[in-house]
Amino acid sequence: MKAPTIYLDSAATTPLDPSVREAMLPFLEDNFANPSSVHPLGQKVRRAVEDARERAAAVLGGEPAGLVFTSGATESNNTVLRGLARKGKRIIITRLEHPSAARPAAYLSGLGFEVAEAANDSSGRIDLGHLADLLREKPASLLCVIHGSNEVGVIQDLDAIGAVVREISPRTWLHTDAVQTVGYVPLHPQRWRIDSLSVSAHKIFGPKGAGALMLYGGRSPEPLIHGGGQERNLRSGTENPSAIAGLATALDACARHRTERADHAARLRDRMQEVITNEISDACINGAAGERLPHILSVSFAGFPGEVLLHHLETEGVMVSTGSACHSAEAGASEVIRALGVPARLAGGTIRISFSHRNTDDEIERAAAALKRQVVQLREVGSQ
Amino acid sequence: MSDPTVLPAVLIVRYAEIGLKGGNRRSFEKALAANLKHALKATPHGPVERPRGRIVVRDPIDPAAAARAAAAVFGVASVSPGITVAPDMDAITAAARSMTAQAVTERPGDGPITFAVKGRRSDKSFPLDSMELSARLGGVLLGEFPRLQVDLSRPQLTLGVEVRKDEVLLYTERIEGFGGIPVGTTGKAVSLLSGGIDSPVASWLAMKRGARVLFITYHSYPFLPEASLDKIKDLTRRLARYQHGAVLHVAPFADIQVAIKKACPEALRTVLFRRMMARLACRLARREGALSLVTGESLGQVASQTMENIRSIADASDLPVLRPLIGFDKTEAIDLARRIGTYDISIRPQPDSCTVFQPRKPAIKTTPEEVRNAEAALDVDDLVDESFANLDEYVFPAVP
Repeated sequence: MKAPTIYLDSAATTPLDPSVREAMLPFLEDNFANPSSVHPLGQKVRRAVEDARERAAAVLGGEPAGLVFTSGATESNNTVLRGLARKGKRIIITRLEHPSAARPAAYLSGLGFEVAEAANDSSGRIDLGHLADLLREKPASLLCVIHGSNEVGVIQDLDAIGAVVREISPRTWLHTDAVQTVGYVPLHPQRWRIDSLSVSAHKIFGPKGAGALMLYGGRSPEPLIHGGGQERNLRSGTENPSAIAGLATALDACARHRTERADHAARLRDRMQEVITNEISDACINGAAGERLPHILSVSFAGFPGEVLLHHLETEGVMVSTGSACHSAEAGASEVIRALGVPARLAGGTIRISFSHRNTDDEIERAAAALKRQVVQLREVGSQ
Repeated sequence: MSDPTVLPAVLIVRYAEIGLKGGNRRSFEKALAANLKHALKATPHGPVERPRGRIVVRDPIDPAAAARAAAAVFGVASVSPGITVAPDMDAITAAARSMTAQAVTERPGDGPITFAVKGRRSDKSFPLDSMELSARLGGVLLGEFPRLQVDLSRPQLTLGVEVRKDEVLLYTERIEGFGGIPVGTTGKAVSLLSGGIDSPVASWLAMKRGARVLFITYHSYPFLPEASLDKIKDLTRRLARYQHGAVLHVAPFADIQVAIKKACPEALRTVLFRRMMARLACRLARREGALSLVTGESLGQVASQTMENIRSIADASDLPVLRPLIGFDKTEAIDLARRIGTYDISIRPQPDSCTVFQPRKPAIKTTPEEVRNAEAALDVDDLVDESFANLDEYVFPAVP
C-alpha cells in the first residue's frame, strides 16, 4: 500500500555519501584526541584537520590559511554580516537571501545599522544599475549576495557584480553564499573578486553541523565566537575533526563529479519541467528566464496552497518542499517568491522540487505522474 | 521508620461533596479511594485508609509530590501532608514544636507570623477537648516562637491537630483540591477534542463532574500535516492524568470535507462539517457505551456557536451534548486552561483546519431543515461508515 519514497528535496539536505562516512569514522573512534593537544595523539588529529583544510581550500579556490571551519553556512553568514557591520556604513543584501543572511541583516537593522536591498528583475537577477547607485550613494562595508537561490535556483552573475563593486567601491567586502552552487557550478573567486564564501557540508552529501567560511585576500571579519583561539582566532571552540574530514571529503567529491552530477540533475529537472509545462495547466516555472541551478525547480500552481500539494504528494511517497503554509492567512508566499513578482494567484501554491545524482529517470517519471494526479485532484476540490 | 526521631508521614485527604451524598456515599468514597490510589501510583506510599470523613495515606515517600498528585484527583477538597504521633500530650507537644519550627524557618525574614492552632477531637476519650487542646498547644508555641502572633480568623500559619482513637495527626499545610466528584461515578462521555483552548477545558470540566471521558478528533490528512495531530495527542496526554489514562480516537476527515465542499453550499460548510463530527462521535459513543457528547462550545463567539447553528449541529446528534463552557467568557476559559496545564499546548501554532475548506462567509444563522436539505446531496451514511471504519486509536497512560 505504501509507495516507495522518492526523495526530491536535495536542496534541503542530502544523505551522507559512503566515502564521507568512511572519512569521518576514525575521528569518532580511535582518533579522538583534541587537535590542540601537543602530545602525539593530538598532533595526529591536528595533521588530519590541516590536511582537510588544504583539500577544502583547494576546492573553494582559496588559501588554506583563509579557510575557517564553522558549524555551517548559517554561522559563516552570521560571522560575515555581524563581523562587518560598521556604524556610518551600510550593508547591502538582496531579496533572494537565505534566512541565514536575511535574518542577521534584519537583526543588525534593528540595532541601528543601515541595511539596503539591491533590486532584482523578474528573473531574479540583481539589477546592476540599482546596485551601482546604492554603492555610489553611501559607503558600504559589505555586499552579501546568495550565489544560487535555494528557493528558485536563480544564479547571480558574480562576474558582473564583482566588476561593479570593484569599480565603484573597491573596499566593500563582497560575500557570497555558495551553499547551493558549490556542488554544481564551478567557483571562480579570483575572477569574481569576492572576499568570502560560505558552504555547508550537508547539502553536498556531507554531515550536518559542518561548514566553512572561505576568506580570500587576507582580510578577516570580527569573530562571532570568542574563546580558545582556534581557527586563527576567527572561530573559537575545539574543532570537530570528524565533521571537518567529512566536509573536505564531500567537497572533494563535488570537484571531481561536478559536471556529471550537474548534467544528471539538469536532465531530471528538464524532464520534470517538461511534464509540468506540457501537461499541467495554470502553473509557472519560477526563475526560468536565465541561468539557474540544475538541481532546483520552483513551480507555482494556481488553485491551492503549496503545503497542501506537498502533503498530497507525500501520500504517494514523493517528498518535496515549500515556502508557503496552509494556515497562514494569505497562504503565505515567501519573500523570495514575492521578490520575483509571481502573481498572487500562483504565489501561494509554490513548491520546490530538487534533484540529485541519486535520483533515477524512473523516479522522475513516477513523481511527475503523481504530481499530475494530485494537482488534478486538488483542482477538483477547488480553492474556496 | 529506621530513624526513631523521624515521625511517620501521612497525607490527610479531605473530600467535600461526596460526604453529603446520603445513599451513594459509600460507593463514592470507594471510587475516590480507588482513583486516589491510581493517582499515587508514581509516588510510593503505604496503606490507604478510610476513617470517617477522611482518607489517610500512610508513609508517602515524597509527601509533597504525593500531596500534589492527590490534590489533582476530582472529589478531593484539600490535602495536608502531615505526621502521626501517639495520642499522648508530650508526644503531641514535641511534634507540634518541630513542625512549627520548620514552618517558621520556611518563612523568610524575622517579621511576625499570624498563627492559630486548630484542634479537632474525634475520640472523646482523649482528656482534652478541641478548645483545651488548641489553647494548651498555642500557649506552648507562643512562648517558644517570638514571631508568632495569635489570629484565629485569618492566620498565615495554621497548625492542625486531629485527635483520633489511636493516633494524632498534625499538619501545617493545606493544598486545595479541585473539588468535583470522582471520575467514573457519573458515566462515560465522548469529548470532541480540537487543538484549541476550549475543548480541553470542557473535557476537564466533564471529568470534574465524574464523567470518564473518551476523546475523538478529526484529521484532514493530507490537507494538513500529520504533525498537526501531535498537539491533540499532547492535550490528551495532559488530560489523561486527571482520570488515570485516556484514549484518543482519530477519525479521518479529508474525504468528508472534500465531499461536502464539492456537493454543498459554501456558506453551510462549517455547520455541515460539525454535523458529521457529531455523527462520528455518536457512533463512537454507542460502541463504547458512552451516554453523551462533550464540546467546547460557548454561546455566540463565532459562526459555529450562534444559537441557531448550535441547534443545527445538535440536530445531527442522537445523544445529549454537554457544553460545560456555555456560560464562559474567553478569558475564563483561558484562565482555567492555564490552571489545568492545557493552555501552553493549545496555543502552539499548528493549524487545525485547512484554508482550502474554509468558507469565505460562513452562514451565521442556519436551520436544521436547510442543512438537512443541503446534506441530501451527500451519502451521509457511507461517509460516516468509511471514516468510522478507519478510526485510529492512541492510548495514553495516566503517568507519562
